[in-house]
Amino acid sequence: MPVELVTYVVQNLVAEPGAVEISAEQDDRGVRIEIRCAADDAGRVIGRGGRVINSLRTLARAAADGRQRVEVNLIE
Amino acid sequence: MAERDLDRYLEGLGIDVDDEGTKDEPMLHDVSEDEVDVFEDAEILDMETALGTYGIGGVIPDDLDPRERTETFLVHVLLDLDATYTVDVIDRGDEILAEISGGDAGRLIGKGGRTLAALEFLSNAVVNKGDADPIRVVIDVGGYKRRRDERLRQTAMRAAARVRKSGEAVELEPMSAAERRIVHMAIAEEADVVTESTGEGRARRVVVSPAD
Repeated sequence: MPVELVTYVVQNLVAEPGAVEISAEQDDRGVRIEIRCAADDAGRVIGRGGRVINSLRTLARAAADGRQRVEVNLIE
Repeated sequence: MAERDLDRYLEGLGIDVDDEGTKDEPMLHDVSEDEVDVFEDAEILDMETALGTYGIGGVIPDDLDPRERTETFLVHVLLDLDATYTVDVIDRGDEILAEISGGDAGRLIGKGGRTLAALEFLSNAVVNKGDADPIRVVIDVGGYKRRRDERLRQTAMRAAARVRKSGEAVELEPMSAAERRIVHMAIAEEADVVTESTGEGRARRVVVSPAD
């Protein structure tokens, strides 16, 4: 499932896994996943040119059922 | 993930599957109303023990080598995607090669290979986290990349033949960096034609020209 997947990947990307908080909001159109992490880890979650967070979005969509929408954002 | 592969994965983490003593016990039994709370508490405790001790659902242990890190990461991610994938990870010295089979290959490859590219990119980021001497992690799904690379080499060779015949440069379709690399490498072996990349971002493409 997308939330578990995002949680696992983010925890293994950052220097401070203990500071990672993932929240998810489900509505009829899909799921909105919000990532919170230590300030120093924000760059690791976003990546150069947004490549890490965009890859997370792509993978989270593959983990979702059918056509449900998946949004993944880092809250700073 | 097949049960056999999950067993192998757990064994890799030092969890002796057969000694758990749970295999012969019935998985389900009738639970009376007043038993429920105790039962649920027990489940949560077990999961927390697993999380803390084996890094399941949490952070990959520090003492694993790159091959083990790759395997641990992929087994976990693949379980979240579809329980029927299996993965074989080998250390080839200069790179880690992970071959994924079973399950819905198309779902993991994605449109234009984008999901696979995302998985590969994140695997590299996680496996090489904080490592001064990174090793490349290469992932294939059901032979997809092998076939794609072969197709790209054929495209490159056809372009080279056209350039030779006409004496004029041929521009190929826009490609990803990985795809352009295959084309450059295929044509580098040819003496009479050369390649270069042109354009920016998604429009970046290879131009094949006659060698001077």
